[in-house]
Amino acid sequence: MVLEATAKTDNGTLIPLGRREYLEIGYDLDGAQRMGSWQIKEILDLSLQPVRRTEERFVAELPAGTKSAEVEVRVTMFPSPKKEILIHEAKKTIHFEM
Amino acid sequence: MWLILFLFLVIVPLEARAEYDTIDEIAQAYAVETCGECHDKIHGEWLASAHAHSVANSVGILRTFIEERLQNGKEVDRSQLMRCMECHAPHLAHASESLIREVVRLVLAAAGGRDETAREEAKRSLDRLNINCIVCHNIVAILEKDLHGPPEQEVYYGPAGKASPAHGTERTTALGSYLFCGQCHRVHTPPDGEIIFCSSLYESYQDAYRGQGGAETCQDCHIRKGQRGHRMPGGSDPDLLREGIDLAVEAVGVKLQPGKWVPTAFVNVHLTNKAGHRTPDG
Repeated sequence: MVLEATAKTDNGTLIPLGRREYLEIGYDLDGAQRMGSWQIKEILDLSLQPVRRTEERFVAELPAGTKSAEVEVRVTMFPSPKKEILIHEAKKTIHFEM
Repeated sequence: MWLILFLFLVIVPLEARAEYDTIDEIAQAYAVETCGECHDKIHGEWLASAHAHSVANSVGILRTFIEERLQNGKEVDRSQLMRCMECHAPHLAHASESLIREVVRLVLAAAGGRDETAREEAKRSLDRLNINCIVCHNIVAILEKDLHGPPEQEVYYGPAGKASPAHGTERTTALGSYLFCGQCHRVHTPPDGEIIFCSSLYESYQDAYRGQGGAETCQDCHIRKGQRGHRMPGGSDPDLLREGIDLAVEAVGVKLQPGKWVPTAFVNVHLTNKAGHRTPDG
């Protein structure tokens, strides 16, 4: 699952603000990442934990002269390499008093 | 009386037998089309479920498992294939070794052959092996088999246990329990004690939710809520994902570095996993 935040400035420039991936990483006895379930002996758990809130903060500089920007946050699930599901999308407009 | 005898002989699909030699034989013995004659809504829901395609939709990973063994000079016999099929198609425990070889051949053909027609044909054959009514309501319906014994032939177990002229029924609380789903949706341990990380949903549910006082069961969210029924959607279902994950966003723009006044975006994101297990899993 991927969380991505971007900002689109008033002149149309798209600025990436940040990205987080939530997943389990499986690895074998030698510490090498594996995809086959029969190969995985340990996991590194980077997923979202049950009934817990996860806080993320993104801070990014925008181009000089930006008066406003539309911040977009998207949460996307990838159940398989070929399948992508947009779970949530939120937009907020931020202003810079000049 | 004759009607009841007829229903038992003709309608009830489950047929007791030691070994099956062909896909046709085993698919026919474990066919569930007739279940739909009385349980049409449930049967229709199940047809749209991942359980109904538990082998055909897993041919990619099954092929990798098989090829890795073959490349290392190891064979893929029943005990090996059942490491996967104990959950993906548990009735293959009653397959002959020749049928096991045929399933291996079909997996390789479905996942890797160059001929698209042959690939689709192999996939269709494998799609006749799946997790169906008989698997859940008979084969794996008994928890604590050491205490209660194996399931009885031609008896279907469920939470209601309502009598039927078509087959024997037995009421059980097992199918309403998260332990029932945990038989497969967990780290799998085959008879030789190996550890296979098919999924760790059950472990996460037990340790980080149920063990902390969480009350809801797998069935509450995946069957009852939203009347999802026997479709039992999971992590590929947009509605279930939206229900299970909450997003809240706060954003503010400020000008930093006095004198330079660099426009800077501050974005706080609050993601809440409302599911009773880690997300995503596996």
